[in-house]
Amino acid sequence: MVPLDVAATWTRMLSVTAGAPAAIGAPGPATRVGGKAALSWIEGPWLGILDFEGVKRCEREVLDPWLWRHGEPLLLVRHLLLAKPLSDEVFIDLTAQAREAMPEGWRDAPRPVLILAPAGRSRPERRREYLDALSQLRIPLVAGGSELWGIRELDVELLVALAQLSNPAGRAAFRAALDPSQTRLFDQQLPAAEAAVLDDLVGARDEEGALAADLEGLSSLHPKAHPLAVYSAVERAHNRRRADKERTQFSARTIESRLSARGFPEAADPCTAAFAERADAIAPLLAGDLQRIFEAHELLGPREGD
Amino acid sequence: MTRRLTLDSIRPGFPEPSACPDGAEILDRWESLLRKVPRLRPWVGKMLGQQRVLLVARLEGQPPLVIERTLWQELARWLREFEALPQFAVSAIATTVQEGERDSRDARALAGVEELPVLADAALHSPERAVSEMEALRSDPAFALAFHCVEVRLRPRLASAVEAAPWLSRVPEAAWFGLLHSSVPACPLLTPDIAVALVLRVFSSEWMTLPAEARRAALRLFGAHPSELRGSAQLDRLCRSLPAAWGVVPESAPDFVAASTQARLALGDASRLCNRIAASVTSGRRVPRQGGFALIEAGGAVPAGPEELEELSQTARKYLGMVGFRRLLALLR
Repeated sequence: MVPLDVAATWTRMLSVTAGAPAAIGAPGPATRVGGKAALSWIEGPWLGILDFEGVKRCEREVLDPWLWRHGEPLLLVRHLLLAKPLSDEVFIDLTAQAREAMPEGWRDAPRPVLILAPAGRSRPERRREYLDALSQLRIPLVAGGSELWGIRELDVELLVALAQLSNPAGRAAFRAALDPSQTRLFDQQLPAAEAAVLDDLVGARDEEGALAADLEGLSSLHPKAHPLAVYSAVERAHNRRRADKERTQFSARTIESRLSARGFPEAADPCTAAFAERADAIAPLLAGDLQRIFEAHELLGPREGD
Repeated sequence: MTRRLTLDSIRPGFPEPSACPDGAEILDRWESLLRKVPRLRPWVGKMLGQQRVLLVARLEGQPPLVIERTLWQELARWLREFEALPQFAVSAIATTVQEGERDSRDARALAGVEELPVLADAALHSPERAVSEMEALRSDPAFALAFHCVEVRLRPRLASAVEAAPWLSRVPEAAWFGLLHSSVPACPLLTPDIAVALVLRVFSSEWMTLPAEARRAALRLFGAHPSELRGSAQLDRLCRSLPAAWGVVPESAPDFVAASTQARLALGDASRLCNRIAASVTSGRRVPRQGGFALIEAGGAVPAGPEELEELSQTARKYLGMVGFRRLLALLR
């Protein structure tokens, strides 16, 4: 058991159900791009890998059984098949449930891979370790290369709290410690918070912002390119515009984008008239947005069906 | 004439009759109820569908009959609850349910397919539930603090921007808040910035009812640099993509961009103030941090000055009903 701070956990639950994200980053299978879920680009579930490096042993002891009995099936129905969580080494070993549930032939083709990393707990070099380890694997599942690999960071403390609250005794103790006027709300909020966190893990609650708008725009120009590949190009173009301090510490959420931290400053060509004409047909863009999307388009490279 | 309810008439999602010995009796009673309130009919089908999805996930590995039996139990429970209510209450609930669904469908039709998740989420929240959630949120000191920062740093600056260009009053405050919320970098942890962003999100629900194209165009203009507006061939198209009621035209776009810059600066001020007051609460105190303050990372800010704390007291006096302020002030004492 992990001692829970009742007030803090309750606040976090309320904030998440009110819309604060519990996981963010690269698109997940449920992230909507161009009006459809990212899942629809490549048929079949995505592979999810939870990174437990930086997660305390007592937290793992709560998370492991919860994942096995409760979380994994709920992620399965959200089109995420889980590998066994990582600790130090980065490798892929599907869980027994994933092996049983995977569609026939699923392992024999490249699949989008989503690494679920604890926010604020990973070492900076961990991203390079993901990249190196996955690049060295010679299995069809990761043969699509790093443009099909992404990272989402999650609030692991909240996940641990929810795992603990799925236990009736833990839930009763927590409930008893709440202000009596809020116990009924707690009963309503607990399943809502759990659903919100699981939805966040697969990107179902991703919200709009400048990056998401560029993802939409570039994806419209490259409708066949996988959202993870498009996102990595867009994120890299955004990272170029960050201040030096932010850029050296930035947490790129696609592995492709991580590479761009190595060779700053990157030189970018000015937007061409031909591209401006193409982009113009999709949506009205002012000069700054157009240049950024052009750079992302260049980073993405020529695609089939362009 | 009311259509007679048969198993087939609500067949989608209805549980297997063989799973419940009392199934026929429960069906008869539902039939009687739905004859009086036919508007409940689609709700029953929808709820059964949702329950089935949840049960399939939760009871994985169990025989299918267990799921069917559980669904019958749910049906029986809802029936008991509806039968215990006065007739007018059942009718009122049925009307609300139907209107909620119709509103949601209309909004989806207006907004386009990609709006589904957000609007569905908004439609499923009952006003009562939203109020109780909001009250619970406001009773937390960390969120009361974020609310205060929006109140004293953001709202006045927005008001000044509107004063400078009065036509901007046609752009609703919820839209400014929605735009600001979208401009805050996402973070999966609770930080002062996220606490402030959450307050903005809560107060910008109207923004989410705009069509996606209008929201995207507004975001583009909101993030524009004034120099980008000069001689832009796209500006007219961008303005036409915005809600017509806002009245933004290429000639007035510089005002919108100037107000956006002010709003972003004000948001930065609000977040920094939130940081400083959070630092006052969390630094060097022996009392355990409470609620959101147990999670909030104040980011090494210097504690708030006396005039900033006095300003907080003033907001607390203005919003006497917000429990969070009382708790926040107690923490600062």
